[in-house]
Amino acid sequence: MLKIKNLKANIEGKEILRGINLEIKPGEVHAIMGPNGSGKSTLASVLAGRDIFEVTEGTVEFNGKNILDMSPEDRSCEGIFLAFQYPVEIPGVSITNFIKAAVNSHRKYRGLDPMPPAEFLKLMKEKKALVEIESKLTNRSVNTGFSGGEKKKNEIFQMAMLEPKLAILDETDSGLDIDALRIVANGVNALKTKDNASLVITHYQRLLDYIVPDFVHVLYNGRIVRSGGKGLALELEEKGYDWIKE
Amino acid sequence: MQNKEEIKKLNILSAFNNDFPFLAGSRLKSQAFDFYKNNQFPNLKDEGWRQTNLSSIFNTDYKEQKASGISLKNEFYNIENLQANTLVFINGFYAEEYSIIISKNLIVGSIQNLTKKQKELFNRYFESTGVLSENNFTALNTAFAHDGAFIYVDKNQQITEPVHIVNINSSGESILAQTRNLVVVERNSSVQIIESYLSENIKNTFTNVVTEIIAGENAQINWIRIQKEAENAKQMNHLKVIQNANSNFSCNTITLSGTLVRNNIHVNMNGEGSFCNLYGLYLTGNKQLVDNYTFVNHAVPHCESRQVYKGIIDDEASAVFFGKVLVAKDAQKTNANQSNKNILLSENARINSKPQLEIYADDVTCSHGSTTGQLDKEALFYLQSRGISKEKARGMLLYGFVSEILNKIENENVRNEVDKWVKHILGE
Repeated sequence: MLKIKNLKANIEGKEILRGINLEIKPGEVHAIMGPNGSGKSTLASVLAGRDIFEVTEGTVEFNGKNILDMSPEDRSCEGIFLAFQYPVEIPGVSITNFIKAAVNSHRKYRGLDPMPPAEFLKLMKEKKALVEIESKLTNRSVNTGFSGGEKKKNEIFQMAMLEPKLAILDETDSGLDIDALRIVANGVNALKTKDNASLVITHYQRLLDYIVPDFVHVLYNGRIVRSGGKGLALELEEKGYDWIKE
Repeated sequence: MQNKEEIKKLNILSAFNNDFPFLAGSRLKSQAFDFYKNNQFPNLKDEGWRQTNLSSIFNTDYKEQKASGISLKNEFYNIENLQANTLVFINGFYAEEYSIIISKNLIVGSIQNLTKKQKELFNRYFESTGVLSENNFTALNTAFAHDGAFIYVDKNQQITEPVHIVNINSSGESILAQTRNLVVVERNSSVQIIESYLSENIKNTFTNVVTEIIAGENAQINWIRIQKEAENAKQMNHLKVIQNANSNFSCNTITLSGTLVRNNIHVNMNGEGSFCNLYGLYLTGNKQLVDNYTFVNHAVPHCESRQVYKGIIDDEASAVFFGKVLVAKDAQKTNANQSNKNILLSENARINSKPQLEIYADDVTCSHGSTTGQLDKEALFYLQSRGISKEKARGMLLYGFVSEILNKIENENVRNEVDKWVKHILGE
């Protein structure tokens, strides 16, 4: 599904990713762990198409297509979803209008007409229940004045509405209390099928108690320095990150 | 020898062949004309006009053109689904054939038609705000306005149908259109008034409007101004309001077009317990200049005023927000705030924002703020990352920015109409 080969990326001339290699197949859950500043969030942003990063080398193929030349919106329509570490507040744009525009953009990409309003409302209701979002929340402006938990639930709600093939969860656990963490993780697990995949980026092993990975990779200084099974996460939790730096 | 200022004044005067009949020979007319002769037009050296280059107004030979032989379709000026008393003025002259009065419990019509019938009322209130001596534009209007709306709501009347004052310019000539409006709402009464500006096939127009509003005790006035003239239209608009005790005046100024638009709003809060809300939205592009000047005078205690102006400025356009709140020495417990927020869409777009508080009382709650920025790139990426095209995302963000002002438009039909235009302009 996703093939990253020797990916290198800069921001303002500073190299952050120094040759990433990673392959993700349908049905798999991969976790990327690593100390702060190792390039985890940069990798997530580069995959989603954030233009402040410059890709200098390497390729990223998604279902056989080179996505590096695609706009962020086309990548989304191809099935890549990024759950933001810091979801952006958008005053004046309601969640309902926002997600309606997103859903219909995806449909247009696939040559479909906009979703009929009744069907859309039914879908919203169903997906809101999945992440235990209060009904009122979707009338409010996107993320504006939301608590940390509400923001992250809103990310997973959007993911549920768009049903991506590859979900990239960028530090989705940061700033969450244990109840919100459980709800968010349950939402992610409920959306898992044999055809889709997840890339879970986290600093702590805690999230991986809920979203159990098939593979764990350690990112350090812009490279994946170690890969293994879920046991690797526990080892990191126990020993910290210092030992991989040696 | 004539100096430049004299030439300016004479050029402008050449537009007028007819006297303002109801003022002809009156003391007010000569007072206004004397003021005009003895004073200069505002210029770049005057406080409150430093960013407002008016030269394009003066280097034109204007003609006066009556509204004959112009045919208009209702859809051109009517607001969808709005049942309103409608007064239509074309090139500043009343067009009775397009106007319609549906409410029974108010006096409404053109000043020319009503002065004789309502002479006593008219004389009691006309020029009671002292607007003529604000500057040479208001003096000129007082001396030579063609016509205008006269709206009188007697005490204890709730007017359910709004009054829509439609101003249309339509001429192949360079014209100067002047309307003069007088609105009086007596105690315990309420009314909603929409003032809209449109143009059709114009060459070069300058509209110079003056409106006086008197809000009686506990009166509620909801005012909406929609400026949607052609791109090359120029407008000078003065609104002067007197608020009596416990009155509520709310004004929403929506400027969507025009090459030079200046809105002066001057509110005197003369009665305790009054509320004043001034909202504004301006969307400008090309080489337009939109200038909003407000002056809210808290003369007495226990009044509240709130101003929120938002603008989006593109291309080489510029905008000005100059808002002044004056709190008099005895006006304790005043609550006043001002906010001006702008998005600049191009490197050559400009905003001059100057909210000002001048406070002489010591027990007040006042605040002001101004922010200017570009379109939020992170927010743009966030929307794009959900599959929304960059163009659509941009429109959504800009619309989100201005929606706060649109939501303040009380009348649902007007709000829907303005909403439609704004979405069209922003590509949402």
